[in-house]
Amino acid sequence: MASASGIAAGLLLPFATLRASRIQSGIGVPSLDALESWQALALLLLWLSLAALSIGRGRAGALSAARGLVASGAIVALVWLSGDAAARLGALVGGFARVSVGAGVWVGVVAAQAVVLASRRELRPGGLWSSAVSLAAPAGVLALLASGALDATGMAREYANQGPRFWAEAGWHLALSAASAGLAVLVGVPLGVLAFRRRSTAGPILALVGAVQTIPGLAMIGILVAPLAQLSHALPWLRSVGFGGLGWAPVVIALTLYALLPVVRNTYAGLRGVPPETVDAGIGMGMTPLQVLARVRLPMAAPVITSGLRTAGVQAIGNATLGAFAAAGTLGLFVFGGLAQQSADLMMVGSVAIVVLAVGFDAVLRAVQRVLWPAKGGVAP
Amino acid sequence: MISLEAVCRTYPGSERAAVSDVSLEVPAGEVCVLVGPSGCGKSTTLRMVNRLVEPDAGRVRLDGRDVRDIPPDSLRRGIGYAIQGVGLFPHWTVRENVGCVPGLLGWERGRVAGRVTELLELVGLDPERHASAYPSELSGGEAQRVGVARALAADPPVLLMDEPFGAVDPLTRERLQSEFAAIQRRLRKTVVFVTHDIDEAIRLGDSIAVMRDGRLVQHDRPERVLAYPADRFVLEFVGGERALRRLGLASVSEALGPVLEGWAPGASVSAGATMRDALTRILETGEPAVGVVDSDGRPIGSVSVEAIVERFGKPLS
Repeated sequence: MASASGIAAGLLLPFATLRASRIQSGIGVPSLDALESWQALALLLLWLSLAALSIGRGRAGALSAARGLVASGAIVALVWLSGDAAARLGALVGGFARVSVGAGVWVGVVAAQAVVLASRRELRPGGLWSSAVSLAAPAGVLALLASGALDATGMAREYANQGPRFWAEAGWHLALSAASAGLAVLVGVPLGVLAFRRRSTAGPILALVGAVQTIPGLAMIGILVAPLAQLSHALPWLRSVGFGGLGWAPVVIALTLYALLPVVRNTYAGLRGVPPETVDAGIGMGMTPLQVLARVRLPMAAPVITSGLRTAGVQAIGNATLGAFAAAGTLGLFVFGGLAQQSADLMMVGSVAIVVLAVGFDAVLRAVQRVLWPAKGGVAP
Repeated sequence: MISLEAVCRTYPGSERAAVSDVSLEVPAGEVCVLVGPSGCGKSTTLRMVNRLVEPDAGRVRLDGRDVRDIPPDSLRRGIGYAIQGVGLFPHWTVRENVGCVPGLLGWERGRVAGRVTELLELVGLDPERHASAYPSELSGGEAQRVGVARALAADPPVLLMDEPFGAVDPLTRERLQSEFAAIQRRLRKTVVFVTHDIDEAIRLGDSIAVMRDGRLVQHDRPERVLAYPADRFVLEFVGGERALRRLGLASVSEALGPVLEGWAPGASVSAGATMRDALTRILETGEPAVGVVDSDGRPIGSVSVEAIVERFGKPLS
């Protein structure tokens, strides 16, 4: 399936998009024109071997790992070939020409990534093969980036244009997201505990944090701007730390409010999920209610709470994009800037960076969960 | 000594009393087994002792002291509590589980560690292999041993055990029972033990309290419950093999006859055997009597079918 769509995408969709300058509309370049014939042949062979590996539908670990690794190879090959094609086409046209990654490549990468994910699912989580399959494609693409093989692509040129600004905004993006997720834990876990301890508060608390989700992100920031501006006006020292109607304050507050739902909900559910026998044992041995909470319930709910933090963090990284509208910077600047300038490459620079941040955060927390709670019982995440 | 004085308890929202008018005394150093079908109120009765359930009426005394006068947390830290294997904290190692109550009592680290090692050895676990394991890494039998060790951790004079051997296969259960009996012979705790298994009750109890629908039907020594069931319910509950079960409680020494002439070493039982063992041996050998030998294998007497039947017919004190 994946191979078929990979080959079809390669044949039917443009491999690259060529523009005479960065803001002109582009023309699609088919694979056979963009690639040298041996490159096209090699790519075809890669897809065919992936198809052959998929026919042996066995769940055997070796076969799954092979599928994952070959698919990773296809991803790296596609990325490298588009870099190579960009260099060649760019030199051909010369001047201000921009060569973007074409739809054929994107579809191919998505198809191959689907195979990677499917094969990882069939491997033992946290095992050597699973890690190898997960890391092969990212490592390959990173190596390509470091080697300069992709420097001629439109995205790389946009990235080079931005210079150090890109990293400053990426860091800021991460900082705002992390601060929001952290605040959501500081506020959300106690709220979840309160909802659990006082059952009468559970309904209102869960309804409130749920209702926040229904407010669109831009509207939320808009709502916050005026009151925060007044607040900082009344308390001048707030302004000295950058707290005001615009800037980081409305963004962090909005992101925190969104992140509350997964944290509160998972804390509440995690605490409720602790088996009554275990709690009974704790009380029966003479733990005070507070000790039962701190030593039994919260530690046993921790995996579930961490899953909530994972959701909250990924959501915050996505929503932090809106910071661009509140004069708070973030990678959203490139996304919305690209949209405004009709520069797909600039937009992609921002989008890809956000996706990488979100996926990376999720992977790191998953790894933390695996290390801390390798299925030692407790409440399963 | 534990004494329950006419305790009653009705759970909110329930019309029927879970426990009604139960009076019971457990002398120090004895095991009292509460037995009965599920829902008979035996667990509720047990949980009144450490105030996990408060009686609506009546009183629970521990060595003469009303338990209501003792703050629940400190009361519970002074009473060992063992429940089915699921009661272990899954996020704690065996060491942390066993050291829980000593930790709550504020023992210093070294003392807790020493006590944990001592207890794991007592219940037949290898401290080096098991102390750092998590409950999910233990077999059912090992988990229940840890449960017992945890209950004994702070050396409490009183133990409450709610079906502590409920979740294992029959063979493992029997081993755990005999090991617990051996530990109890050494430690002499005052124990309230809940089970629905009449054989377990007979094997472990110094006394058996049979409960039904929240009421105490009969409280007596096991052999007397078997010999003189208080009513039809107890009769049915102790089952059709009650004569054999009674024989299983009586030692061959109670029916000892003279050493047999022409005695063969194979056809004998040890001096510590029960009459049930002797009868089994008699049926296996096809002889009317078997020899009884001491621990060195020397004959000290014999047991015959007649002697067993005669002893069985005598009224119990």
